[in-house]
Amino acid sequence: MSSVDPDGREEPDAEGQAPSADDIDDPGLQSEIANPADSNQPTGSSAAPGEGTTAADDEPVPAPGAPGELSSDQTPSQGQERGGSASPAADDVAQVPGGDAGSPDTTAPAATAPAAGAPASGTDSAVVPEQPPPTPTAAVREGAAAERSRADKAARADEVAEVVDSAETPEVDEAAGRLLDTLRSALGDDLQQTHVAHGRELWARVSVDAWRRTAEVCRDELGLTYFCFLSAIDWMPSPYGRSEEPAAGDENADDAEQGGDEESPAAIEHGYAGGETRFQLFARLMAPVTSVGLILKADLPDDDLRAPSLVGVYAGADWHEREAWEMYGITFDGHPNLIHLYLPGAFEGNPLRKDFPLLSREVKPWPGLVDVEAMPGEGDGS
Amino acid sequence: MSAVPQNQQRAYVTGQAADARVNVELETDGMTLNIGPQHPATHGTLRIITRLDGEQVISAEPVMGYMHRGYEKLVEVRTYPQVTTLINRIDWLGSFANEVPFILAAEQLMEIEAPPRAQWIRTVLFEMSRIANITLFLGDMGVQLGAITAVFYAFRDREHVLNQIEAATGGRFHPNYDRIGGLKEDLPKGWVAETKSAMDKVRRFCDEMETLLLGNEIFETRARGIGVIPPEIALSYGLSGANLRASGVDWDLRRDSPNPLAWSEVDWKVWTHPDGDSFARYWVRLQETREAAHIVDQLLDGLPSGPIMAKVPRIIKVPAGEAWVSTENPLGEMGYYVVSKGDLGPFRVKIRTPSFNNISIVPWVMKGVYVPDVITILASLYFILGDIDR
Repeated sequence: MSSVDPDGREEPDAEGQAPSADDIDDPGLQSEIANPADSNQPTGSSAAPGEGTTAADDEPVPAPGAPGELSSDQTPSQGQERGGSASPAADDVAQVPGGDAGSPDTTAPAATAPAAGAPASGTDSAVVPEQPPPTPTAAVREGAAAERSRADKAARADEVAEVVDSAETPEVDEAAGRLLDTLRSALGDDLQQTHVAHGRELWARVSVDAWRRTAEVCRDELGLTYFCFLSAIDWMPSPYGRSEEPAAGDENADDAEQGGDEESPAAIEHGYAGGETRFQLFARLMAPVTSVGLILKADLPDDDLRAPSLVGVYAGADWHEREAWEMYGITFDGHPNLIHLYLPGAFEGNPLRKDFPLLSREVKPWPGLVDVEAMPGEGDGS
Repeated sequence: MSAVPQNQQRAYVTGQAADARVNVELETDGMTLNIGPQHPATHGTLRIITRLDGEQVISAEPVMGYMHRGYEKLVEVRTYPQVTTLINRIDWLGSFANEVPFILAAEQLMEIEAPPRAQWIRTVLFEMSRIANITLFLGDMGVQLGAITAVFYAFRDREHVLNQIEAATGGRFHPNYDRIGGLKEDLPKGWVAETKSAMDKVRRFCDEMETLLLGNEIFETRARGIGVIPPEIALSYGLSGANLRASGVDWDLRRDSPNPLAWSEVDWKVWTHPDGDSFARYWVRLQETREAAHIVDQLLDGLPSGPIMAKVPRIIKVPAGEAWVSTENPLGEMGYYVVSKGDLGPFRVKIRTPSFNNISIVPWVMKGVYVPDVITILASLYFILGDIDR
């Protein structure tokens, strides 16, 4: 696999790419289109053995962070260590990275998971996930896909319940579970639903009243000190469809669905961790260095689009909330300066709502029409 | 750590009080100074409204939106393959790097994975985007501080990298080369050797910058101790990338988050600097450029052969689900939150751009600095307007 071809050309026959091509054959193309989840799944070629890259992706590493070496790398606050010394010369600084901050105590507060039973880092190194034995990729994939569809069903069932999938790699779930346990014990009933995707991400839906409290818990108890983003989702299917003419050749595949969407615009399907309302607030918080992250969601009642502001907890939420305010019309209580961020001051409407038409698409269907003029040299040829 | 800016501010205040005592007649009223939207220091259309007391900034409020293109809305009416053309234009200096996290998110939802060769080439081009992007910063920071020469070298040597990107992808700035499941096409003949010689030039460029600027007394006095950002403040504002590492946080998503790209296959290091000032940000980026060249060299040495495209359906539909993928882009953490409902295109895409968060700290960090330092800080935070306004 690693044979180097200096010019970057591979001989087509030479390689071990073998298994791929056979997995999906043309007969299935139509059915693929109808049912992409199945068709996309195996695509064996990608699972080409041996290169760590492929396996690594499926490894259930997310919540715990990479186990061993990280602990030595958690030196987020090297500044402290340097004490009062003036700015070192460039050369001196060259060696700062990594674990030379030696004393773990300096590192503790800022970045690593705090004591409070938090799962984030230290504990997890113990639970290094044992790889699902050979043929990891395929197995994991299938499992993950199955898990996902199950999760979707559960979410759709619209019941306020815990959806923690623990198909395989229970160790990771354990870690994720511990993070969620902390959250649950801190929030009680305000934690409405959770979702775990293996090796990827955690979702937690909380009541909007607990929005700010959740952020405080995340920052202070879970060590998620890094503010990644905050935004919102409008789950209502767009009444304008996708403003798109189906590409030639796939009418049957596409028309059915699109038509369906347009006829029943009221059908709202929520994503991971469920939901009950049209608008959902969501934000991602993260622990530095370990890269443990958590996606928070909160339902916003349709008649009262307001949420407590996070600016007091994460200063970076300021602009994100301004953006969500102008794009979705969500008011953030306690925001110091809720004014337009991108849009001109007199702008009316909330552009990212699904019922806000994209005018350029309304006047000019996509694709096409752009190309009505003959290209130079094209018209005279015929 | 947070004591530093307080000291800084106290020094300003006492200095100011002393001045006021000496020259009572020179005492100034408050004044509003508008910087931008068209201003060289903003390389784009960022407007900053500063309120001054004498030479000192009391408050600075950035005003954005002059370039807002509404990508999050536009993406909703595009198919997945069409999206890459669009998101290329977010951070236009490192455009290939914009494509990667989105493609990875789509691949994650589709449960497919590009073959190793594609992942390696992605990583190579990703790092070359980083070089193309940051070389410009390395020159530009000089020009903001009055050292004109540096920027010419930057433009000259960036060209070597852009040529290679163009040779592989067909586009200097907007490669649109990444595909769900792999890459558009394989590398052209002779590309590897040429790229290696380009990397040599990059390294030479870094050495030049080091001798031109780092030892320069004017540069150092204008950059050292200016715009100090302590790590905990940086984190709460969501600063990422070199800006965060220059505050001493040893965190790089290339190393610290699981991803299918090939960074874990080669030997490199993450550079940090404890100072958190403008000089540190310059210094870290300079080292990162060198490191990127080093990464590219190693990747080219070990480039696996094989296919560059996984088997994907001809019409790409992404199964319903949600995915968040972020990568360590030239400017910091760039990520896409993709919500799919099983259609040809995404239902909702939240684009998390690094510059947006990086610049949101401006009101905090500029409180109490002097007017010329505004330029230094802006330059050292390094933003791309398209990356703020998206």
